[in-house]
Amino acid sequence: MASSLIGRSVVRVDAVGKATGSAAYGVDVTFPGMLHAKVLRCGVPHARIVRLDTSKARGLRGVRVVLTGEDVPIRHGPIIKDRPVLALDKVRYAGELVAAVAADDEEAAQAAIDAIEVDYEELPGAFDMEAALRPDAPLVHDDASAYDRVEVPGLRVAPAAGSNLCYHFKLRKGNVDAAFSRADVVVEDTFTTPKIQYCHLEPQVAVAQVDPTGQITVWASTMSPHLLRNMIAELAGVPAAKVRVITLMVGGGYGSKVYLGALNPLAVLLAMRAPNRAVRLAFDREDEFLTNDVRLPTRTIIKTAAMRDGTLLARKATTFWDKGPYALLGPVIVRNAGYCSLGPYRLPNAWIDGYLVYTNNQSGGGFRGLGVPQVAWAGEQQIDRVARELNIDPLELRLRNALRDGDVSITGETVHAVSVRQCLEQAAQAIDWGKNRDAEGPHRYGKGIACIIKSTLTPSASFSTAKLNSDGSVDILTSAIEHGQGAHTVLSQIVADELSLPLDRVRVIVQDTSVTPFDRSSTSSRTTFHMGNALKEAALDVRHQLAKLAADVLEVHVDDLEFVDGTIRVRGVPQHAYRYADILTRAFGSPATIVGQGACFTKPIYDPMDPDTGQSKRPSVYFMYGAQAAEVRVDVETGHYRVTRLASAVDAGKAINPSNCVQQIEGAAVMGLGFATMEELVSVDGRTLNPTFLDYKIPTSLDMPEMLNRIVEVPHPEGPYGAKGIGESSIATTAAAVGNALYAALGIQVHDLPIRAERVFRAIRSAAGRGRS
Amino acid sequence: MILAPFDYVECADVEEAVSLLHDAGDRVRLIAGGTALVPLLKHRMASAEVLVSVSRIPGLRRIEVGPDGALHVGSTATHRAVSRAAAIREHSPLLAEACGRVASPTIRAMGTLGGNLCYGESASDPSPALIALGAEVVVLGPQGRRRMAVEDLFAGFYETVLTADEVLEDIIVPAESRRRRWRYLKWTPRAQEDKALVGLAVVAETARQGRSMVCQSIRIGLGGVDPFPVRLRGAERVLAGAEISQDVVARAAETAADEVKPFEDLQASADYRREMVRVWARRILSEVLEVA
Amino acid sequence: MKPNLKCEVTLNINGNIHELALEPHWTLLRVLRDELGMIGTREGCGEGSCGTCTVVVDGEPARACLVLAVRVNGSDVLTIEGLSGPDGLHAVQQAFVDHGASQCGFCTPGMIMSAKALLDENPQPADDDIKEFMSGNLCRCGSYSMIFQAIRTASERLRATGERR
Repeated sequence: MASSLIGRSVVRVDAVGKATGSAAYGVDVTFPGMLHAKVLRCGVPHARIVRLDTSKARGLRGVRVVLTGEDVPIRHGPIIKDRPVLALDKVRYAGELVAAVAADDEEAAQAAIDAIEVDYEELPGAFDMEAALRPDAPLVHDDASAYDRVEVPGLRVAPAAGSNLCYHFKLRKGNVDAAFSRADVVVEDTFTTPKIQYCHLEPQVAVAQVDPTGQITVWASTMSPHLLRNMIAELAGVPAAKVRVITLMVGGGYGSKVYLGALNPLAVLLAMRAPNRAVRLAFDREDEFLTNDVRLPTRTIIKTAAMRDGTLLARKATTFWDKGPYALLGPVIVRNAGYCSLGPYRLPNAWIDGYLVYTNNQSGGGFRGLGVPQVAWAGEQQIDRVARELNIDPLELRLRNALRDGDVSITGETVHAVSVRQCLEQAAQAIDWGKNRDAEGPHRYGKGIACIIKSTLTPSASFSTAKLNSDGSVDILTSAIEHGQGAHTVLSQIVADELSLPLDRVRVIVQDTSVTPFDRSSTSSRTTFHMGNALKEAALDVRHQLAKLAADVLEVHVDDLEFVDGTIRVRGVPQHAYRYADILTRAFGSPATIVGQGACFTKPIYDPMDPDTGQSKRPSVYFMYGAQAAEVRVDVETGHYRVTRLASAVDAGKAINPSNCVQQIEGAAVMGLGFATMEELVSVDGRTLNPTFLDYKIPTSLDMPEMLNRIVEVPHPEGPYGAKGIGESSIATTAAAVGNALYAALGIQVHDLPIRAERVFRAIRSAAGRGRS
Repeated sequence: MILAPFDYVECADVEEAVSLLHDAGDRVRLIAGGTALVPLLKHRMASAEVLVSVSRIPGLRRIEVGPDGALHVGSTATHRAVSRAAAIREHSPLLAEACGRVASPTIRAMGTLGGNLCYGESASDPSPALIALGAEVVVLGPQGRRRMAVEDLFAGFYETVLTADEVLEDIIVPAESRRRRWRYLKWTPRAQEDKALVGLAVVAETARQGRSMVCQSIRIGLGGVDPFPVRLRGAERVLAGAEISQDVVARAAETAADEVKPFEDLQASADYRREMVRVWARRILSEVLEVA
Repeated sequence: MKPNLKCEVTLNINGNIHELALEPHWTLLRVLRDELGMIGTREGCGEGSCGTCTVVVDGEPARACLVLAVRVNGSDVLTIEGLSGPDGLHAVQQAFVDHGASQCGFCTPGMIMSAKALLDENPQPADDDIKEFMSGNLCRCGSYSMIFQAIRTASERLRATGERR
């Protein structure tokens, strides 16, 4: 009897296709006679469009469609519909698009873009978050309250006219002021995080085609084909049934490629004006750096109160989030990161304000970790400062205050399946916490640790179908996207296991909204839990149907049957094993298909968050916990440091595929390392200076520390086999872990990311100047 | 990103390239490896109606040691070829080392030594090495050939003294004593794979005189700090002929920090560059001169 | 000299001779993908910084996005499609599969071509040699450790079988 597939590090189902280059991505989609589209960026961060003349462009060879905002005056957005498809009266960030063209070939499209004439009247811009909230600040939107809005459960979004405040998150628990008064130790600091870019190697791309009946088909590199379908239908003014979205392999998403974005509407609107010709719009790397979204920059002022014995009494955090000009997912990010910003601790008193501010900087979007990396940079470094003030080991301080099962969180939820302690202990053990290397010449060594809690998108829904084919193989019909996280493999393991089939008899086929049922999105580390549950149910549905058929055919009771190795046997009669295909043929007298369905939706358990207090008894169906410890070696004469070891301990709930979990844990840690040490999109007055890999550095093979990965398993009662989500925890802790390691080595805290050598150098110099070592 | 259309000519010799550049002016650009030019063209930071290639000119990528002991490297020799050539590893291992540090292996296989020099980039790896080796370049123009020290090639930020119709032909590294000590430091604090913030190349000869060691000769090249690669003549003067000690090395490093004119960019401020010259000059000179 | 003059270029791609009429400004990447429909070589940045488009030209690794196709007239080009054959996957490809070296997989063909170029030149690379050689190939998903392990395994397997595949 084959052993269970659950918990096995099987080779990924997409591995060979990717190793041979044959696995197709959105960029590979091509059709005969396909038109090529290009876009025109405005290049000015805040300006009125005085003149936009496309007449020369329209007359050029091979140019088929030219669009400006005037042609398509539509606004969209997942929460506030404030974003125009193409700029209307004014542009609000330097990457905003003002025109799009479709032409017979790329050269013609580029020539058309070059021939468009635009005159701008530059306006004063809002580039600093806090300045943007002052009454005299330039307004990004004259009246943001006038835009249509989408209701999101547990979210009160009410921007006011004449203000750049898009959204304000509040959480209030207990009495922080009283706690600050009676505490033994109170520390307060300000921390900032910069704009960083997704840098998924596959750019955004869509190929759209509209047929003579008005049916719109879009081949899109997206993490949410059904959401995209609905949004395209609304944009195009057609019923959703008229729109079909098909997604192949996605070359990285990390939170990009989720909603309409800047690109998808243009591909569709151009195609609608070029009947029966496919239109391909792909961003190049510069478009990605300048027009796509970024991780929301932040400024956090955080204050923590503790007693001498290390008990945390209170934490108060005020975070300003730079939204850029369009709301996108901003309010959800600020809320979800907001209530996790004080860390996974027992806190009797808590106060959080999150201010989401419209600016003329690049638009902030959902980015792996969804705001937790930014707030953890602040909160987890402050824990170490408190530890130093109290002369308590930073690991010990965390363990003393870590949430445990049965504790009440700051939102008022009694938490379960908590694993903070286990993650901290595993990370600490992996890095030999407590053993520190001595100084060597100008080099100092230090270790630091950090931990986080993160929520998942709730409520949300995933539906799925499992189709047993006449040959006994199974097709998984899921809209879950494979963007590197290993979803297709894990989902295949689940279905194969439930149906007692070998893995190669189960396949994920397509992601096609006409065929595969609704899935909210492959984001928020939700796929294993939600789609895993849905598919488990779908597979069981097939199993039950097959059992009933077999019982009829074999004239036994259903309870007398067992499923073994792709066959059905009568208990006690192992020599008669019936292949599924045989049962089907015997039951129906012909090849046959059985379809099972499953769903996982969390609305019933969700308790919408109170907009004034941030209280909710169940804001997230599960929480993700992780801890990370870093060791650094720093050269005190230059400020340059290397992260020599990075130990990540992440709670998977249940590791359905352990090697897949390690891929995600380590992959997130490498992104976290980039955020901590080197990544920054530098802008001056809204204009970005480094939109290229030559000057925007991300980690390479040479930057890798020794990676020590630990999978913690504290099962979740509602997850498939106990599984939670693991893709985001170890990106959120890295910056603070590295910062804390430097703090241990040097006694100096860096407050602004990235932790550049020059910043460390200046901090060392000014500390020496103040007579401290 | 696509390229704007252009025509393409493969030159049979350098004279042909010079003539084409001379006749067509700024409508024509020279292309060697293309690793610098093609991105510039794609970003529309440069334009060309015709690309004039020197990549198939026989002899222009030669690597050989002449009868006078000087090393001749043709301008279209790739960094990869230079870093791996036995002749260079024996004659001037510093050059092999520096060329082996350019960007990454695939760029090294495409990019040329001549192209790198003519790009005029401050953080060029081969440039400080060639300066420290006392190398010269040979340039062909409509008026004929001229020769100059590598440190005299550079005029400003991404700017050389070459006219638009001159083509760099040859790089000549003089024969030197085998007893030379050398070192190339490529310091990249921002990320491991990056252009140098401090690219320091040192070639020195020492000799025993009584109980002490004396620095008989020294040349120091520096990239990444000033707007273009430079020779640290001030630091050299402190050390040339001096008895080697911690003190004299420290003074040389201070002089180096004083004589540089650092620029500021996204990588670092000018002040930090200056401070890092102070630190690394001391460390590298100490190492090369074997100061305790 | 008129622009857009079509040039006749012969390329040997993965052992197959192709006679093409190209424009001088077409990159090798564009020719592979758009003229020949070979999707395995892709663009990540278009300016040679990410390594996604790495192929092997006349035995040397090259950035297909920076190579003008007219400049490699007569050359041998090896792409990811040329690595596997009737006998199955190349040792480097198999090692990538076995070690889970692909997450989103977009960097994978470029990584594999760089790795092949490394092992062709240096069949027994030290750990630092591997990391240094691969430093020009970006992996945003962060699979560097698995890629590294895969290259070490491929090196061992190639040496064990004595193959140069």
